[in-house]
Amino acid sequence: MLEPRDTRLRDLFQAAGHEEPTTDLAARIMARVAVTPMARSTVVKPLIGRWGWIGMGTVAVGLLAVALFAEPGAATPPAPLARLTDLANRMPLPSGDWPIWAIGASACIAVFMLLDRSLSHRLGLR
Amino acid sequence: MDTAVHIRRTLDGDTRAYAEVVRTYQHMVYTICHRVLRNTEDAEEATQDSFVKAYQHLRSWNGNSKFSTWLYSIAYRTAISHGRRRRSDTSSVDALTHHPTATENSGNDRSELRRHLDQALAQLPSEDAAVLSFFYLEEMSVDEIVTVTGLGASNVKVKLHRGRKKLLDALERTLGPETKALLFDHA
Repeated sequence: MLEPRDTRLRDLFQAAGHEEPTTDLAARIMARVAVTPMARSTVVKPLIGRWGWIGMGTVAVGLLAVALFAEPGAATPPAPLARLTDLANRMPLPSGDWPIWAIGASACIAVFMLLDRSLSHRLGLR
Repeated sequence: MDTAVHIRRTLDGDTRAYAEVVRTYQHMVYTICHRVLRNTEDAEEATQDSFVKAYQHLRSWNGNSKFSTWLYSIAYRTAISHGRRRRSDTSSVDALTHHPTATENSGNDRSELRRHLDQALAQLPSEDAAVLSFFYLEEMSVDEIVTVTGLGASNVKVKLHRGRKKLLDALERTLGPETKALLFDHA
């Protein structure tokens, strides 16, 4: 609630009104606006989305769990890996002895290439 | 038509709609700039800059706050930064050597009253003069003034209290007898 003196000051300010600019001010503003580009709104979007991180996190946790709980030197691989091993055995690989690190490295290269293609696509580089 | 409609049309590429926004708010934006800078030329330049900045960043106005509050905030900050630049350039202040405008040339009571008010406000720090204008002319709340100026609520209250006292003292010295009677007889 305004005090009486505030009310009188408000009345004075409003009686005096706004300052008067020169008559062509609006035209000058619009002349500048006409040659000014409007800034594009920047939407910050992560390159790897939420589901991408969830997927990668799940795979990482899964691999960590297998590494921690697999018995070293066991004749058969742990149950979760048994199906993968079986699948790998049925893959049409060239005959010969394929060490496990070579298969793992190839899989990593494939994953990184896919990730690179996906990120390049999102950035519009390809 | 509603300002929000003009803004939507401006965002859709209709620059003429922005002319309506300029027409609606130019007087208050110019008043803010003039009260801070006290110089017609600088105030007009700051007003132009404020509207151009507002146009450039129109997409960042989210519609949740009042457009006037957002625009006046740009105007206030632009005027303050012009003032800092001017102080380093040491250019002139013409609050007391008034530039007559079309309305003032007609010599009406309103412009005479405004001249007295300008003279009185010129004796206050420019930030205080702007804060008083927001409070009494635009009837903004302390919270709105805080949003516009970026000052703390207690700082705004102090500026209002101190500014009001100084303004009344200055008005008592500069106003004509009729207006003085109107302001001070019942105080």
